[in-house]
Amino acid sequence: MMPYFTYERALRAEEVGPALVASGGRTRVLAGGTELVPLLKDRLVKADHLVDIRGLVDEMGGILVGEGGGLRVGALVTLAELARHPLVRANYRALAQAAEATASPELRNQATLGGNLLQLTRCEYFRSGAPCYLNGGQVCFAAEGRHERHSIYPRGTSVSVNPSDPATALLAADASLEILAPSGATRTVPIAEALKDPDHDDPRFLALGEGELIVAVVLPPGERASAYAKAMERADWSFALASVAVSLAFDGEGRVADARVVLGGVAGTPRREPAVEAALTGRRVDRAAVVRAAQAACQDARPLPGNGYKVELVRGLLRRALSGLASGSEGATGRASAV
Amino acid sequence: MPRIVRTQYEYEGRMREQITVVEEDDLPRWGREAKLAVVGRPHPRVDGHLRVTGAARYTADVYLPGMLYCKIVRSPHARARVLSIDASRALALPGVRLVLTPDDFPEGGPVPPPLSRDVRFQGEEVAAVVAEDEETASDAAALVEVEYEVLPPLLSWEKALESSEPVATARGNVHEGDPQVKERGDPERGFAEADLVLEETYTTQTELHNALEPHGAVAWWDGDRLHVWESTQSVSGVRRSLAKAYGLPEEDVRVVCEFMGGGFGAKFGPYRYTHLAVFAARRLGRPVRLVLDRHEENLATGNRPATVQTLKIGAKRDGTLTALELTAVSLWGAGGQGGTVAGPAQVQYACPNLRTTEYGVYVNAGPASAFRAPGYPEGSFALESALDELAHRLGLDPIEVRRKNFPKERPDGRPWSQNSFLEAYEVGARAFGWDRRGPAPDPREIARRREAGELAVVRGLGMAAGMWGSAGWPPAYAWVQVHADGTATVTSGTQDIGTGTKTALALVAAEELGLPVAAVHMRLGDTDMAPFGTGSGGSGTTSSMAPAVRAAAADARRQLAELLAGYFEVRPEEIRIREGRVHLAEGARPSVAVPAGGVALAELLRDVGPINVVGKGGRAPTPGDRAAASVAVHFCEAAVDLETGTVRVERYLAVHESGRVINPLTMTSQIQGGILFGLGYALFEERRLDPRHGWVLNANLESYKVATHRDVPRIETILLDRPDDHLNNAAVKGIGEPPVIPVAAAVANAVFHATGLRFRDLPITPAKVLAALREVARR
Ligand SMILES: Cc1cc2nc3c(=O)[nH]c(=O)nc-3n(C[C@H](O)[C@H](O)[C@H](O)COP(=O)(O)OP(=O)(O)OC[C@H]3O[C@@H](n4cnc5c(N)ncnc54)[C@H](O)[C@@H]3O)c2cc1C
Repeated sequence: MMPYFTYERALRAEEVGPALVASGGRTRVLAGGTELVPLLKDRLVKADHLVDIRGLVDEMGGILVGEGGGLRVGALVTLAELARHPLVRANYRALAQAAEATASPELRNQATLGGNLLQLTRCEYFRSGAPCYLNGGQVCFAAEGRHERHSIYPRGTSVSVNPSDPATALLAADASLEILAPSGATRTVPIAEALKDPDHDDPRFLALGEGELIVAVVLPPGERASAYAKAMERADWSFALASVAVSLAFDGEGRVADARVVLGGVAGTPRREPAVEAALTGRRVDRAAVVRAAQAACQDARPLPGNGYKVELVRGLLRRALSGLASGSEGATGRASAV
Repeated sequence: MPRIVRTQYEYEGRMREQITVVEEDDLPRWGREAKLAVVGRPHPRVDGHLRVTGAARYTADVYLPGMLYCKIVRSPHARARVLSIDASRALALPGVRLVLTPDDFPEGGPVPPPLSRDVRFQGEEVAAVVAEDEETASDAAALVEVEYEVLPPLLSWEKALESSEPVATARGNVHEGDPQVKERGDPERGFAEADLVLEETYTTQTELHNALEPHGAVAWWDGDRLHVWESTQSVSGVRRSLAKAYGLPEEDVRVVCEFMGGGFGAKFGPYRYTHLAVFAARRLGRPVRLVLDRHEENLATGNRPATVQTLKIGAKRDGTLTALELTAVSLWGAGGQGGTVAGPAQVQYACPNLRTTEYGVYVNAGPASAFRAPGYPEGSFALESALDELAHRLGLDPIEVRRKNFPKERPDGRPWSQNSFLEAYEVGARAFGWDRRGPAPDPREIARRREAGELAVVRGLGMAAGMWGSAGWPPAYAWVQVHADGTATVTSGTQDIGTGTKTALALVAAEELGLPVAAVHMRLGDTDMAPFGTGSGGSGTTSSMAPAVRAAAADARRQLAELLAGYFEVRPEEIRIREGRVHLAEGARPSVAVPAGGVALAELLRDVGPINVVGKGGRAPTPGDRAAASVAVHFCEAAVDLETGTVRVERYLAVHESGRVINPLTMTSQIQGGILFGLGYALFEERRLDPRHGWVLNANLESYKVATHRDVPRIETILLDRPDDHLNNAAVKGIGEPPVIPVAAAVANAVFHATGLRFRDLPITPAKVLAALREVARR
């Protein structure tokens, strides 16, 4: 049952940040509400007042071609819009696939990209209100308890994984976040720098200052082939057990000139995998290269007793995503069906 | 004539005996030769439009004037002692009317106390708040301060068996202190005679019901008369229990469940929430509503208990079984009750030597309850996987092994009324293309080719069989009133829990009355001014109720024929009613001429004026000398994604025999629904507990995963319409539970056939598939 709160529609983006700061954390931003509303209902997040930002489409909506190429995707763009946008599909295929593989059709129609990046951990201990580290307690119950879905790169005091499919694809795309500070200043940060592990003081997966808003996600220009592969136990409406996003630039001879390989669902942040990238760089993507690259993944993983399967899983996903991008295949030119 | 009999019937794998009032009828059975006009033809649900347009009123849609809202305070701990409850902050909240604590319910009262001081599972009820609106009630519930002494929970069955300290219930940790043992023949000799003996351990998970509609009740005292709207599988049963608990005559208790969104065994009631609503309503003199939310549903409303089963199976080279031995432990939670896990092993095959040992073990987790075929999907998973393995090891076809061990009679010596397994194997194998199935691969080869990037997806075919012994029971009564407008109303204190009972019974009444289905009104789900109707469990609703409705409709038809005979001045036997029109038998000489196409009953009665035609009917006993067998033979094609370890069922075929088919549409939807359930059980669903604290980690539909549309393959169903006329006048048996029984084994067997890997632990998740692949790759 929903606790009591007041509601207001924001009219200008610049006014939101100062209001958030002034409230001392009791005011929250509402976008699609698919994350915030359940958290409020479960009393995992407390708020007296919600500021609905969905009307701020001038500043935070739309998918536009950026200066010098690339795309600027507004934070209010829904995952459904992102998944079907022709330029996203053509040039940032892994991102379109990741958006399409997120949640369910109903949720994708409602969920925004900004909200997706700011969702909290799906750790069942946290979500069921256990007095864990991320809920203000002193313990991570998952490490000692059930952690099939948790990190194989445990770090610090929580073993949560970043649950976002788009975040994984955005890191592979070398995207940046356009952030509006309460002062009115805008800064642009590579997502690689903004991503962080959740911790006691801030359970979010992004380093944002108090009162800061994500305004847009900026995708750099460049001709790359990319693919996203996600594993779930059922066919739909599930978070990734693990996922991979691969983005490759080829040289004139069909060899990999630059590789960005990112693993999702295995650590507190989406994780670049330099060993796999190195195994691909300078080679044609053929079966032998695919097998070798996959085998290079997760060599340094330290799975918990209950999640060693993720190593196998990541390698399988890499074989799948890379096979779709094999030199000469349709995927390598950026056109192929979603995985 | 009604008479009192002592009768026996099978209920969810257990024989029950009772003394009850039955009514015999002299109707010719609807056997194979019967020519029926309405029954057996597909008919959409009579209340389908109400359900899809939102007009149907479920319990949660009941809002009474002046109604208050109740919210339960539940223990966050799996085992604890309530030291104190401070309700002052809750009571201070404007709009809060009452806070109930265990002190309000003295031990030894007529009502089992609905609030506990000794907490034995997470989610157990410790207090309740009543307020003017739902939001206030839930805010206030969060303000009730309960001080607990937290105790270490007992969660493992091994420890429960060892420990003599009664931790999970006041009575001890093992149901009745001892296992249930059943034996026949000489199992030791049977194993000695076997050419092959297999012994394996199978484990199954705790499954949650998650009916679409949550549990709930609205209670209102109208003076000394109690009205309760309850989402229940048995309005008559709830009435009886409430009358007993509150010392009321049954006539002064009215229980209503007009529409329902599923129960699956967990909604018989009354439950603790019902008593809280009833109690608070009396105390406050206002109606009180208590509807659970999804979280509560998943903590405290029952489950299919996890099992650990060791099955030893001995066979001759030709597949003939020589001995079966099953030791099964079921984790019934804190004082719950699970089903008969040994049921399939005991009756499905002819095996002369058998021993089954079943433990019901109590642990500090949500109590188990009945759940669609209690015990059988669990037991079937072990038995049907083992038979598949046996066939593989002996180089025999799995169907051949099953055919070889077809039981000519039930092991208790009773002949089957009919048993269609052999026909179902044949029909199913042909329709599925079973003969295209080759041998299973070597799993090491699969693992090697996977790592070499040569093989990403493999497919396999599997089958499994299941059976269920249900043909209904007395008491079950119905009234059929025919109105002067040519329509009729069927009244009974049974209910339609979403399975299509109203539709099936409307077809039965229409058939017997000679009216179109649209002219039959169904009045179920209200105990006021209704005769006793059966609870919806054990797959027995249609087979209990249809014979009673048929008898009542026949009684009404006879009365109607007598009236009309007077009108036409013919003999009653000369009256024929078909599709709502009155005809006369050939050779009849009426005083009023009847045109060739007959006269519409409605037209005729309009001139006659008010009529008082009320037929009544009851159900005869189910003959004890025959055993009923609803059979299910399932075939499954599964794809195993070697890269991700996910299993997708791509094609499914189910062959079922449950006696006469009343409505192929609703029967098919029961089968499809059962298979959906089974797929979830095989692949996704699992209540996960924290191993140290006993917390339920996934008490929601986000992480308790049921199958979605995209997980459901094309399901083909073959209905063997074989009226079983030894059992009841409608020749019907049960279909509610059989479809879920063999699914998990059929899937596991298909996965084996695809990969050469045997999964004996449900659900078959990507983690388990990948671990198994890695394991064989290392070998
Ligand atoms: C059942 C279910 C399944 C899901 N499955 C997946 C999945 O498979 N993969 C996946 O990646 N995700 C999944 N999700 C998460 C889903 O994508 C997010 O809930 C959604 O994207 C959040 O967006 P929203 O607009 O609804 O955010 P809201 O709920 O409105 O907001 C979420 C948070 O972000 C803050 N916020 C929102 N926008 C901004 C902004 N522009 N600047 C600053 N703060 C902001 C809010 O204050 C709030 O704290 C699932 C969610 C559900 C409920």
